[in-house]
Amino acid sequence: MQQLGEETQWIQAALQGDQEAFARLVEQYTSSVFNLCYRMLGSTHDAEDATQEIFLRVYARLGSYDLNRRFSTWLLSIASNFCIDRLRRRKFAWVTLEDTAFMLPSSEAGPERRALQRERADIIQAALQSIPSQYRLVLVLRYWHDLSYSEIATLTGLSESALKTRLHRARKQLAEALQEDGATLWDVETTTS
Amino acid sequence: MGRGNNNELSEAEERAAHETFQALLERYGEPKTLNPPVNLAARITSQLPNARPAEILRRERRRLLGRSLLLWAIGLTWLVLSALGLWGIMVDSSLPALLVGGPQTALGHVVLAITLAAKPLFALFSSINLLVWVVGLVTVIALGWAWWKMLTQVQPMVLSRNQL
Repeated sequence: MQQLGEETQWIQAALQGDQEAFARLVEQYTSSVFNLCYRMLGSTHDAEDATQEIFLRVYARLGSYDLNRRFSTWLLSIASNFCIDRLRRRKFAWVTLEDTAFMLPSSEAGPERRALQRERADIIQAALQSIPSQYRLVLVLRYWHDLSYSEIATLTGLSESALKTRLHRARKQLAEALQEDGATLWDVETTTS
Repeated sequence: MGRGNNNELSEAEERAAHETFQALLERYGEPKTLNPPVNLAARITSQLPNARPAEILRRERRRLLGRSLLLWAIGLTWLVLSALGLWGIMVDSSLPALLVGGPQTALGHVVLAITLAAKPLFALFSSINLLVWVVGLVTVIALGWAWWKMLTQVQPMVLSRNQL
């Protein structure tokens, strides 16, 4: 409760242009936003960029924040929308010849391929990236951020029953992705029967 | 089993699925939290603009309004010019220009020029055989589709490589 009180004070001070107060909010939530971005966007580099842009956006929109809502939920909803938007834009990014050069056959593993192999070691992260972003989001919020159904529903604008259905499908898709990757640790029937 | 539809689980099933999924994650050492770069918070704070949040939001809204007004103005101008050009082609070349003060004024001159430039193009299009039009259209659509498929299939590979 004390922390929430402090948080409200920081927000009110930040609204008056107090950057130190906003810096405290940034310190408080950097890890949370960074981790959400990392799970959604797939790389630490993208997560770092996104975290910076999200906090700048949050500062600009602080005036529209309703003090009766939980700040963390509001912040994560902005972060979620930002990530979904960025993923949507990726689909339309231009591919240059330099970008496609890696597709040419090579006899030895170069640094990029070695990096790819390293990345493959992180099986869950790779499987997460293979499922649709809307499914990924609910999984990340539920299991990595430990948010309740009602919080996720508020954050995503879904009804609780729609959220449960989406979460169910998301779990199933992630399990299937893991199985494709050679993992046999999950009984898909458990969630699909 | 108390299920409303094919995808809705009962509370007990939901709890069981949740626990099983958590157990699965635990086998992979997840969910784990990554530490953000140490100076990330400081970097963000150093980039904050000097203005108050309300002022930034006001500026942003003004910028968006200006941009949408400009786009509307461009669209409307294009629409009006197209309508005038079509009128000039179908009825009389000098009529659209007369509406804006006649060909001797600057604007009238521009309208007349557009009308006259559109005339041979219109004549060219109307002289082409209908079959050629259909074949051309189908070719353009097919090429566009192939290009789109190529982009959407290549993109995920390129992006996942770029993320590393």
